[in-house]
Amino acid sequence: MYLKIIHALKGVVQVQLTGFSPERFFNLCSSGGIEIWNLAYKEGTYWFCMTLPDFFKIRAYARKAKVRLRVAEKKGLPFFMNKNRKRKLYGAGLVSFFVLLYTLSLFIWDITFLGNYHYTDNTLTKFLNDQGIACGILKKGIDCDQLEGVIRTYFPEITWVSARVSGTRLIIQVKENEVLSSIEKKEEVPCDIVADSGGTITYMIVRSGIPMVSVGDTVEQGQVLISGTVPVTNDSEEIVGVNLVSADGDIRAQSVYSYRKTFPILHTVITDTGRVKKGLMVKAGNFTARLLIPDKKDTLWRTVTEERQLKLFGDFYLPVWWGEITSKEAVSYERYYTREEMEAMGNEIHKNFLHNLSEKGVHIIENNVKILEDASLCHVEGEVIAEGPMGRPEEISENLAPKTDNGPEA
Amino acid sequence: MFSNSKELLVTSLKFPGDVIMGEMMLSFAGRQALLVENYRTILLYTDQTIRLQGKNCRLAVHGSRLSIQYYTKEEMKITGQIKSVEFE
Repeated sequence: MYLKIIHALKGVVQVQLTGFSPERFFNLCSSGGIEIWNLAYKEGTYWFCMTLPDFFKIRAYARKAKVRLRVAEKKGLPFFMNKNRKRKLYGAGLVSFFVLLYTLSLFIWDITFLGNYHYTDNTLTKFLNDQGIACGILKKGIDCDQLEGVIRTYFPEITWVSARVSGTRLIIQVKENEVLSSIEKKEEVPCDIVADSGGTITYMIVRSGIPMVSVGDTVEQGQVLISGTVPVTNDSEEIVGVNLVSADGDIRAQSVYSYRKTFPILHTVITDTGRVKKGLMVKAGNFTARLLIPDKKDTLWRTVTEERQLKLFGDFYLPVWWGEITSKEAVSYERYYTREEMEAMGNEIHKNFLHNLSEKGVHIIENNVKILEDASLCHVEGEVIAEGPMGRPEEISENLAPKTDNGPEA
Repeated sequence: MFSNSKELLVTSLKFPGDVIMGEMMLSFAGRQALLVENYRTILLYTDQTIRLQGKNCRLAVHGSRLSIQYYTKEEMKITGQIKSVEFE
């Protein structure tokens, strides 16, 4: 292959040879380092190929061997150039093509992120834009070492960064820290733990503060469960002051969770008619061209465009995007849900509610759902008896804190 | 005498014959192709016979539609329908 390219660049001639001593001519050529190939004998004449520079060297050999040479065929770049020497625009177009290609190769046309899970591509792209790095900038303008440093500094969760320019792509590979880099500190403000809903306490551990309820008690929403106001007593067990602490503890309670949701029975349905139109789109910079047959009827069409960036080979991306447009005709109409559909939707809503509760660490003991319908709406009413964590901190205001309190002892 | 002793030396010391003695090396690929190494000159070339001069002997390749795919000072590749090879 390599040899063929060299031959094409030098120019190849197919020569017809006749005369007195062809063998002597071939021997002279081989001793003179002349390259000859595809040598064949046909009806008293010899045919062979050689490069154009070699052809100019063999005149003396032909005279010595008393042979006559005739060029039968010419191939390769020198002949092509000679043939097209008057086609200036053709040449100019060819040169411009390569110049344009070279110019485009000086810029970045694609930025790829690899290994990012916590930080999305959009976040990283926005950050790079703020740093002045975006598609269309000169490759020279990117200092990969500096960029790596800046990314590491700005995103503390990124522990390792590799930025490299490959072709017209900027590839940024990151590794994120899989464990938390810092443990969130709890705010040490004086607070009570109050019930966030009504229920019966099933489990309680107090780490700081005074427990105000015990296991088995029934509490109401907003009731203080652990008090952050700790009384200070003297030797005679008289309260001489109070300490305000941040109440902390684990409380679990059995509660009733209920919800009510409604959705309209009449709804709009959009379905495909089966008619499909296909088209093409080309985008270069801000210019976009779409090739799609227009429709005379004023109907609804759902269009999906798959966009791909043009690349010549490997990582040589160009600032041209192309894609296929698929347009499907659709019709919309209104209809009522059937009883089965309503039940399915109601069950789905209830399932989602249970799923959300489970994610909060709630243990479901009993659950009921009712699906009712009236003229225009469908009502989903759910009631779940479950055991789960209870309590939320509520800050104690300094003014509200009692100076002395007869509450239980710490 | 001298030639014989040189041959003996090459055999006993297991030197490659083509390097020391300048013998022709022939490599066949079926009957379609033949690679000849260590030849000196072309004596005759037609589409039925190719005669080559080696250092110690001559080689004649007989066949039909014989052509020389390429040749250099050192080697030559012959293609075509080879019928026989003869040393003269």
